[in-house]
Amino acid sequence: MELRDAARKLLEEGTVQGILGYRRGSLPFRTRPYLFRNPEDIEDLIFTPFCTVNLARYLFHLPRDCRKVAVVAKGCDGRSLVVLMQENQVRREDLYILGVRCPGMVDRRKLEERWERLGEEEVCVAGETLVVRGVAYPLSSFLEPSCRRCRHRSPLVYDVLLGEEAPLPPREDVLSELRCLPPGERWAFFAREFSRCIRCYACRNACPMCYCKECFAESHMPSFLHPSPTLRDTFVFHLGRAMHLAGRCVACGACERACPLGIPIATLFFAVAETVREHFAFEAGMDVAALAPFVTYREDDPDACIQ
Amino acid sequence: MRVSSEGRIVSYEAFLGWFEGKRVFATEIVSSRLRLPFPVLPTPKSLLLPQREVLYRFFWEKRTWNITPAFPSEETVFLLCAPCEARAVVRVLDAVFLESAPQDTSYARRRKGLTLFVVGCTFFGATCFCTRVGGSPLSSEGASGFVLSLPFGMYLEGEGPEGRSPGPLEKEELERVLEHLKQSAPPPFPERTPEYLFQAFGEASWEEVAWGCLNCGACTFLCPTCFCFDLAPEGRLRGAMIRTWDSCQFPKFTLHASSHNPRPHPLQRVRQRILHKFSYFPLRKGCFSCVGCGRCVLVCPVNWSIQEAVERMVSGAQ
Amino acid sequence: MRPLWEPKIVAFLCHWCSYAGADLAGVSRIQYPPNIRVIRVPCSGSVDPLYILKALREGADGVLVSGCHPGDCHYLSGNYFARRKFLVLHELLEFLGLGGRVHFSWVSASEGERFARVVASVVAAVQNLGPSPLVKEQEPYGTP
Repeated sequence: MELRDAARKLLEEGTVQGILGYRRGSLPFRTRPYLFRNPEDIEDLIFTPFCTVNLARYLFHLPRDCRKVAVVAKGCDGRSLVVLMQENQVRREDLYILGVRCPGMVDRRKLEERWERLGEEEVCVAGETLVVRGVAYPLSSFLEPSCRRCRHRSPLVYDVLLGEEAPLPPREDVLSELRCLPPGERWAFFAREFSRCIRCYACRNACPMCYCKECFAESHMPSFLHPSPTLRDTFVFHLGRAMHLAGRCVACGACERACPLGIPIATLFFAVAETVREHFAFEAGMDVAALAPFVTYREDDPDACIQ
Repeated sequence: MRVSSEGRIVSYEAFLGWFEGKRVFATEIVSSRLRLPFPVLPTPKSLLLPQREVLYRFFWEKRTWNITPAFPSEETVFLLCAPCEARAVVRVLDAVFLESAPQDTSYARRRKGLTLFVVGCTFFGATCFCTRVGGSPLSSEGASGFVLSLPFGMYLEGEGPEGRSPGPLEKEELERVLEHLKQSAPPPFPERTPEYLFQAFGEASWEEVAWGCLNCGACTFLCPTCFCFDLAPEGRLRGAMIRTWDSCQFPKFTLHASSHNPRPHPLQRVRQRILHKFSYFPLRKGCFSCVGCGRCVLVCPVNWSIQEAVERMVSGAQ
Repeated sequence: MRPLWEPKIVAFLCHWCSYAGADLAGVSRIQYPPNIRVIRVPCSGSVDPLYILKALREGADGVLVSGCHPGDCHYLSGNYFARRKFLVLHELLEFLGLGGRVHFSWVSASEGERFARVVASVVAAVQNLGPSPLVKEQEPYGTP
């Protein structure tokens, strides 16, 4: 495999001290992030449509002796790396970006829901179709919401880019269904979803942009919310996070996939990203030199919402 | 496990009928296997140690604090749960909140009203490892009723509706299930696991074992045995003291008032989770505080497995 | 007859303009609804969206944030930064179906009349929406 060869070469030549990549998990359709440090381990390195974790997060979990690291980056991981560079959290020279062309991530929950006891070998992705037990289905209906609305499936900043180039399928507006509902029903939907939250903070911890030493959700002085998961506290947590990530979130959807209860939290981030794109003409993770929308302003910014 | 003399066969409808008019809940594991019309809870912990619980209410008046304790009701509640989850209540939660002094009053009241009804397992799920930690898919420990769902109906022991005694064919089927379970049961961890792990505290291999964990609280919050909690007041001059779940994976879990944190590094927190379940607790109370339900592996965002971690550390220490 | 339910509204007013504007409304004896609880802040740019969320969490039915007109900020550009944050929060709340509870306005120190008008319109808008869905869920701790 092209990826393994490239990775092995990097380790053998000593270009990097480790490779952040994926290997098989203990359950079907699960992958585990892993820091490959020995060329012998590279055999375990995989890249499948189930590599849902955003590896940029793991830059904060590197051992001290790992000065330069290669990251297996799909489009969203690559954009996250750009934001982290923009925010001076990592330096370009400490990174080797092993870009991979991403087919889109398949929602394993959808597969598990539809087919019982499905094995990983019974599923394969070929172009824009998903073949399950010999029957072909359109891939887009099984993709994660973040992948259905993805604009850039390959990283924009990289050292090498592996895989075959494929045309980007049409982008789907995953929020249109919600936006069509009357406000009361929309709130009913979000209230129902928020009340399921147990505040395990998996969404936050899986997010590559949530690197604060102390999160506002856990801060005591000042305290913004109570640790118990009532609707109003969960509301503050998710909205506070959405505001903190405005203009920084690359819409990778890692939060949603990390959620043990399957709450569609990423919809909030998509909505914020759309607002930022529409009004400030900014998209996160495109350009290392660009200024984030909240650290700059224009005198003619829209002010329709202000009396 | 054997076919007990009081074992009887009832129909699915009769079984459900017996619960009519009672307050019944089912845990997620059970309700995903049997289609049950009862409200679903993640684990028995949600009933006994709710994630949000008012311990007392307070207000400040005439330059003094007025405090009214809040007691939960002792109302009778039935819970259909898996054998591992019943063990989590009887062996771990009870040991911590009932059998240790002082007793936890609100837990004791809730526990008094709770009747456990165990639904035995006829197979090992992908993440199940109850037999590794001393449990059994057919254990009825702590339960007032035990039921096993089989192709020909429900096999029932203890409390529950009346039924007929199993015929020879049904007995044979039952034997077959037992034999299959015995064959596929994962072997137990070595007997001296707690001691091995205790000595392995300073091992360098923890770093690799713990790597990958994101330090979220999904595993601990959805664990049937994890009982750590936090007390947080709500309101200033008038409000309530609220008990919520807390997780040893959170950086603030061990933060002292002095700003010293004994476990600042993620690795230390992962090690604590493993050692508490597989070393400290068994050394003090005589049983693992992990019942092997495997939910933590299932819900983990990165598929981190505590079972593999223990296996690895134990094999290293041996 | 006055309605039974009166909304509670938290108002974050910038020290240099809107707070002075509110003051002017007061000394000029201009009538406006008494539903607002004023919190004085140095600048509208210092209002973290978390303050607004926390106000809603603590039981406010609505929030008003008011600062200097664009170009008049005492700190030169605070309200320009604020405007971007407010826009995003406004759109997000709208998306959640909670639109109409959080309001923003520019009121200068000389606009006492305008301040009264803004407050009246905010109170009317929130009154129309009814109690906040986050308040309904709040636990009553009983009266002493």
